[in-house]
Amino acid sequence: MSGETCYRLFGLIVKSELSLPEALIAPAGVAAHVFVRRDEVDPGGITGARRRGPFVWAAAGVLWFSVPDVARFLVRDGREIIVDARPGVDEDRVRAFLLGSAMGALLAQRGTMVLHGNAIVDDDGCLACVGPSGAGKSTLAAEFMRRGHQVLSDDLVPLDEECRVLPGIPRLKLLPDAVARLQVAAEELRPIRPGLTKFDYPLGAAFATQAIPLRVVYVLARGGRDPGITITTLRGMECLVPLRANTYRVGFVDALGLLPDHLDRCGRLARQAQVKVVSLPSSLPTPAEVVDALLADAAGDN
Amino acid sequence: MRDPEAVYQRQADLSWTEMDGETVVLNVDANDYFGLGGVGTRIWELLARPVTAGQICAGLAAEYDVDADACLDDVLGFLAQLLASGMIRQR
Repeated sequence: MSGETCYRLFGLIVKSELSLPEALIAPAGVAAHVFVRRDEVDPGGITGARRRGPFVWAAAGVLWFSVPDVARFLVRDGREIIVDARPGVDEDRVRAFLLGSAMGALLAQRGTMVLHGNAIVDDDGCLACVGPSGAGKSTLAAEFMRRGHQVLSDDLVPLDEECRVLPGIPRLKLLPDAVARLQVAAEELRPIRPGLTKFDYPLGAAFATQAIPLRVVYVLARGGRDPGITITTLRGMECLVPLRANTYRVGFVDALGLLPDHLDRCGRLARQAQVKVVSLPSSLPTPAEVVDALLADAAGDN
Repeated sequence: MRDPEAVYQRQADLSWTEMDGETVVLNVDANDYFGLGGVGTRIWELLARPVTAGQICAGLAAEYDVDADACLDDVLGFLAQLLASGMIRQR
């Protein structure tokens, strides 16, 4: 069993019994907000809780979920994650769910809104790109980075009470074609999970380490009818549906009874940032073309 | 049916948020969201306390250029929708 180390991610100091090599190490002597422990997690769920799906149980402040053949997780009070990994399972696989779903549930318990996408630093603020899996979000982040923009977060985009994006983990999860565009050999990178052909690309100096106000949420949508890229600003209540749809693990938020809090956060976000739909034509534009369009739009709003 | 004296009030246990002059209300029990436009938002504000359709119209007439009779029809129709969605109750 490895010792405990403190890491800094999503605005939290996380003391973990599991090694998290992709996360930033916290400065010495800082008190931890969150504890990640290895222990047994009851395979039968939680007594007195509601079953919210085949692999999810929830009660106020507690979420239990199971990833068959990988691990069971218990996330409690926004302070603690207990990991019960199946014997012999690859640590990379366990960590993918720990840093994804389990952290997503923990942040929800802490009242932090989390969008699913990435956040890029631009002039006086940051831009978030959200959209369904496979919309090319991480590939866009790589293109922003190639042009000298810093990246705040990839996959989970947590927002603090003032709608600032909190720095996540200094890596991008990239598909091989995006890796090729960055001109690094895929063999040098660490596969995220065995069998999944995505690679961890360490951000290094391209990682922003301070919370930055969110200016625009770009909602990527494929299959637009126009031949070009069109960007439409949403007004008022139109913002709710895309913000909810692109909330990280909104099912967990619902299971935890936190939808009222989430609605409040959506309202705050819609008041402080712009929400825009980016309609991409079916003849998919290149990442460079999309980034050109987003930067031109963002510059127009300054 | 057309009773300007009936008293209405918001249901307890609802959450709502304002977005650029419009309002989104969450009915957790029904797991449903309900969007209110500009005038709807103003009516929603007035429903914070027990209020009649007539009083709502008087409030709106002070702020919008509306015909009192048409206003009452519109407001009663709107209140019926809110009632059917479980967002308000009649006292």
